[in-house]
Amino acid sequence: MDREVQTLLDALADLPEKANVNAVFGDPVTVEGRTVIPLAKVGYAFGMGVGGTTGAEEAAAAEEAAAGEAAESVPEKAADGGGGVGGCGGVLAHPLAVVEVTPEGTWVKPVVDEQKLALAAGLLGAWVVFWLARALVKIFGHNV
Amino acid sequence: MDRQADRERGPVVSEVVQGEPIRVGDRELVPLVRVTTHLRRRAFVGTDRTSGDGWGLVRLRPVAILERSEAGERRLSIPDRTAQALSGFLLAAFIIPLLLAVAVRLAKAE
Repeated sequence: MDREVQTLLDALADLPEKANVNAVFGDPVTVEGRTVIPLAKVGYAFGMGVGGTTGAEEAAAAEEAAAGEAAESVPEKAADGGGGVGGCGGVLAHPLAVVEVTPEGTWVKPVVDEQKLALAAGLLGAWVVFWLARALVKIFGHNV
Repeated sequence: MDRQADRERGPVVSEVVQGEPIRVGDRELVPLVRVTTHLRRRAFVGTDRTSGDGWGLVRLRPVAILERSEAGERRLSIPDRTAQALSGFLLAAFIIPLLLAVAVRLAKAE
């Protein structure tokens, strides 16, 4: 179990070195003399856990049990202990821009996440309506 | 009790790293990527149990491209238009209530 814990900690320590910076660049696509390279921002996360008993508690319990009962009733695997390992992870990528390379030059064309902006604009609109209504009630509320 | 606990919470580390050059015709494009990492590790070793856990976050964001050609080297910034627009919305969300509060005060003063 100690070795598994050490393996886990070592794997986490190497994470920054293992991050592949080339993952943000897609494969270049060339069509009619123009090369397009997609760019994305990438994020990933993971978590792991490992744990278990060393068997000391079980061995002590087994000895106590053996003192009062027959030796055959003592679980044979008690001294081995038990344990488990678990983990999960995820990767997220969002398009950021497109690099266009032509014989005339190289350009970066930003990509806008319209869905995210539409959602944010809707929330902002609701926020503004709320405050506007509140202001109007405060100004004209007494006369209505 | 002879328990030992080992904790390590690394700081948020952010650095700009050069990626592998991409060759397009007579030009070479070198990506510059900001790598942000955050790690947390924890281990527990005791007489009756042993455990460890940890998590890590890595964020990769291209910030610029270096274009190398016979004419020289040129840096092309990569703007995040979505983040810029969202920042603008957030700013508006703070300013609009303040402006309306001022308007209410002025209206009541009259």
